[in-house]
Amino acid sequence: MIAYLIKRLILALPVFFGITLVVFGALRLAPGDPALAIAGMDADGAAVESIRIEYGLDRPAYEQYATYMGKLLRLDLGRSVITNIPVLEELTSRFPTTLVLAVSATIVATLVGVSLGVLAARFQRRWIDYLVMILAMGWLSVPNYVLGLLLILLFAVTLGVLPAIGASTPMHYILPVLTVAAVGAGILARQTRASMLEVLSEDYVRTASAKGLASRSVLLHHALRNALIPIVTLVGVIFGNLMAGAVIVESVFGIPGIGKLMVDRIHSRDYPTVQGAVLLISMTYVLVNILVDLAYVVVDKRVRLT
Amino acid sequence: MSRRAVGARPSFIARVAGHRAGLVGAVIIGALFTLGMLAAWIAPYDPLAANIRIARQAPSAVHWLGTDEIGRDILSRLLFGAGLSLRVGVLAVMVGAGVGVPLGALSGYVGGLVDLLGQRVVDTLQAFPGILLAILVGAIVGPNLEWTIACLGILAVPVYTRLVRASVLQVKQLAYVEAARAVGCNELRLIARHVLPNSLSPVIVQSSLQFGFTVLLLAGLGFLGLGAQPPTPEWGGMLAQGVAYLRSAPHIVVFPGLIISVTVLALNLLGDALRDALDPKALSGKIR
Repeated sequence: MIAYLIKRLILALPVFFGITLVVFGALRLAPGDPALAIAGMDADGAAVESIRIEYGLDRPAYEQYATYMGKLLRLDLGRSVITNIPVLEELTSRFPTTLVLAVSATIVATLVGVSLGVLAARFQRRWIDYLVMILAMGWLSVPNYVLGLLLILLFAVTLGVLPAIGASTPMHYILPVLTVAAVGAGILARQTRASMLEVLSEDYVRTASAKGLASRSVLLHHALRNALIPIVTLVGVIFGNLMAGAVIVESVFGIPGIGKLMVDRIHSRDYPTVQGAVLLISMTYVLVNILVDLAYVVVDKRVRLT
Repeated sequence: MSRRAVGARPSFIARVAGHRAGLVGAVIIGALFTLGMLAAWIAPYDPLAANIRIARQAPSAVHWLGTDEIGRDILSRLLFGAGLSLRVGVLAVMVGAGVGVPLGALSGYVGGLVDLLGQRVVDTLQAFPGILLAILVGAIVGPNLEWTIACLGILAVPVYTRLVRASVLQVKQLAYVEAARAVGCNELRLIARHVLPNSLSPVIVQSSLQFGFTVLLLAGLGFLGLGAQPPTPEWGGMLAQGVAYLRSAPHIVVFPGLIISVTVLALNLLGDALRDALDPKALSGKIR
């Protein structure tokens, strides 16, 4: 298991490398002078010049990249252009908030999605099935920023039962978590249903029913356990997507996480901070997918790690 | 109905049309496209004409969907916005498929080092959750519609590459490809005429879903203030401008929100129907 984990991490190195290359290279896409882009459009000549030297923009690209990587390995992500605080500090102080949002949303999405999917498969072609599929399609289709605003409108403005803006109490997390979770619950409900229907037609499920096991036990122990394999992969993908979703949803609900930081700083063109945030979120995404592969083993004993 | 052998598979169109939800999706998208393209002629008002004296009016007989925060007609803005969203969607899907399909075919057909390198690039691009890359580019080049389209297109490339590569790997070992090679068909023709057409079903399904995803991302970027800029009538931007008036004039947010959701829903329904219709395992078009 440990050996496998190490092997996967090594295999992920090219991807990590690629991510840094893209994040680094993106600055070169900037029309005109990257130093000006970093310093801000209204910076004076001296400030631009000092940025150019600080970032080594006067040297060849490969050398700049080497310097960038060198700093990155020492966890030096530069300083925010706006606050002059080290980017790493800005990110780590806000990362837990985003993580809480994304993890809770993933848990809610998994619980709701998987149980609805099992229900739909159990009652295939009955009204429960249709209801679940309609709900799932709706959750998939309403964008999170729209859903967030509609939930605020309903629960905060009209009914006045839940707070809309901020993250000061656990109550503040209810609407954002539901908002972020919706799309994941929709995807999982559909996948669970499909996967359950496939498994339910297998011989071993018929055998289990034939030998007189309670249908509940067949459904949960024989069918669901085997149907879970494609679902586990999906949970990993969904966590990544919900994390990206949190970026937007944080702005809707005014939650001070990495997403809101990133969006706020885009407008003030705080490039090092945006760069650091993208790097952190992407790396988390890759790491989570490695963890998901490990989770296979726990769910399915047939999978051998090689 | 035309005469058909008993038990024969209904035609592709019949299968999509027989799928009720898919038909609904197709009709909605068709209608939105038509309305969006005709916006200049059918919109009741100029989408940019502001009149502060009639700002934030609720829907009425004069302004069917009400007016926005500076008194522009919301219906007219939504119609023009439809044209924009759908145009960007088509362009981004064309960029994605145009680059991704040949790349995937090449990767799958040639194999070896090309495949290895190509797949690592795809891995890397896929390591970025969708909107992040768009935000990154938006942050650097500033809000710019051409860049946004290019970026949304590039985001779609890995998915197409993966799909086509996988199905090319499957198809290229089939006997008829062997036969075509045996009669002296050159490699390029072989890929274009014999391998690719048989790998296209997943591409068509993906295009419908990708289209929806693009519409969603574009509006998301608009909502964050990237992408199209005010006063351009863009759905996401309209949503963002209405947020401040959520309490006093919720219709400014609700209508753009609804139309974005309905568009994505229609494309998802269509995508589902296409997948069912193109799946060779489904014997009848009518799944439900």
